[in-house]
Amino acid sequence: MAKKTTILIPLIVLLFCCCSAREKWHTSTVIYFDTVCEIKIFGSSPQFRSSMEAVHGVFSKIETLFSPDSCELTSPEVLNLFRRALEIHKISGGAFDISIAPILKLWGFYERDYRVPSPGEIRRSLNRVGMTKIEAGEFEIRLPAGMEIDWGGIAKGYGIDLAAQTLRDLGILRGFINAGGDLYCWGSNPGDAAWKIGIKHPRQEGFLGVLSLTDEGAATTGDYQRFFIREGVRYHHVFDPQSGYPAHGKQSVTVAGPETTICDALATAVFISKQPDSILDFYPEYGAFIVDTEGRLSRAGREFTLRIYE
Amino acid sequence: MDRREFLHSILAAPVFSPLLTPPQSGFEHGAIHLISDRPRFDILPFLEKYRKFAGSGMNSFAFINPDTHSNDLAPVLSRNGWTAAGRPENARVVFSFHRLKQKSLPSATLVQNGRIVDIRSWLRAPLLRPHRESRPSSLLTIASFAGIYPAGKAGESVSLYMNGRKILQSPLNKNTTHIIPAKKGHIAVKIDRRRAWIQASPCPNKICTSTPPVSMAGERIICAPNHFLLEVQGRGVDTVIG
Repeated sequence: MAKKTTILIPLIVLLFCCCSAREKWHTSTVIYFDTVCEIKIFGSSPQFRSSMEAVHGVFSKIETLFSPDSCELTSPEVLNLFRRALEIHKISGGAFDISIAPILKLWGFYERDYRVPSPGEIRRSLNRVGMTKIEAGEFEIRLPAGMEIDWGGIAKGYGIDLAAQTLRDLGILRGFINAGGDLYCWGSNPGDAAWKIGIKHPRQEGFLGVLSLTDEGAATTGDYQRFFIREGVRYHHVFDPQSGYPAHGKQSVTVAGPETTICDALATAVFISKQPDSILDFYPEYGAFIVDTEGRLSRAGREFTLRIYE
Repeated sequence: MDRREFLHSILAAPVFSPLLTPPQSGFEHGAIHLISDRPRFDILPFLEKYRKFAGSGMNSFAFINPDTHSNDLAPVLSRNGWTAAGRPENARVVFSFHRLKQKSLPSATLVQNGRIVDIRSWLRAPLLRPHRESRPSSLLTIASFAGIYPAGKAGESVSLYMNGRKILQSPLNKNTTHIIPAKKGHIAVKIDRRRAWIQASPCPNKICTSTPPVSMAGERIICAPNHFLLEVQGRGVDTVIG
């Protein structure tokens, strides 16, 4: 019996080594949510193939579910995400509002045909903005006439969370998904440490800093991501639902925490809100890095390690 | 590209066949290197071909160094369903124009993840020749896809690869010159004031030596005839957001 074990153990070890030796890092780039999504995972080649199929499945489903043309206001996923958005809307004192679509359209951010509307036009469009005007029943969302939902501030984060969960269920223990700046990472990086996430500086070349994350997400909202300039004034895509004008006072906000869905929405909420701390008090697991219009960096909420280069 | 087309491209470019690999549908970096004095006529079929591998929505463009060629190319792209992104960081495809020191026969080279997957030379591929000139040209147009344009992060070191194998890594903050043995001579890589470039190469076209210096993580200089790749490595980050 003892003899058998002495042969068996090295055999098992050998077998284990052979199998694990075939695991390696795989990366892939796919295009969803109108942006480039980078996926990096550790696993065998068949695992990588099934992972990519799963990511394609999740992302295309989310894209269809939350596209402005085909959004089914009765689907359970849509109802669920609407409720989560509504919660952040209330906690942020109305700063985060997914019913901002009429304002984005008015300023030309949908067609990329930008213009500065008159105050009268903005007032009229604001009548059709406000999440509390939307009736959310148990089985469907009822949109008043003229109102529209822009899922852009939350759906991408939700898609990343779903895709990451699917990959973890498939047995992928290490990896990240970065969809145009919204990210979730889990396990350890190729250097067996926490993932090092560079945060782009909103005005300069290089990074604001490098964030170390594991089993966590991050998302950035910045005035440099989509904007146009008229007569020397920068008009960006993060609108204050109270004024109907681009929110001012900040250049960028990065939020990190356990769920990318929440990071995504909180980054927008904190960018618009005048009281970031009061929002983050409700989300103790989330922390924000805020760059104001003078380029000064401040923090709010939970502490995260941010390495800053000179 | 189907199998037959792929074989055709191998026949069209026997010189490079050791490097040819089938195109992948998922890739990190991709680029078309087009040698032609009239990019507005010649680049579109290659862009369309590439779009198949890059997925849908691959249709916004920008120029790194806008000049007369970009003025000619932009309307052609717009007419064919491409949209101008304005700034390179917002574009899926980024064009840059480079003057060759020596004239070269027109060709198009498809590069994915630093490997040459397809080369089309006008002379050897008569099917691709309608309305194209086969006179030597002096303009190199590089169309970079997806991750190849740096996200604005300064590099930390330079890695040099020969035949797909890493041969050397050198920090960008140390001014130095590396002499690398290559086919029929040596490649000289110069690093000075956080920028790296190829100073001399024994290759016939000197595309690599006319490529501007690189300094940002992810930027690359490729010398195809020598199977040589220079890549700038980032400052220890795994990915970038923002």
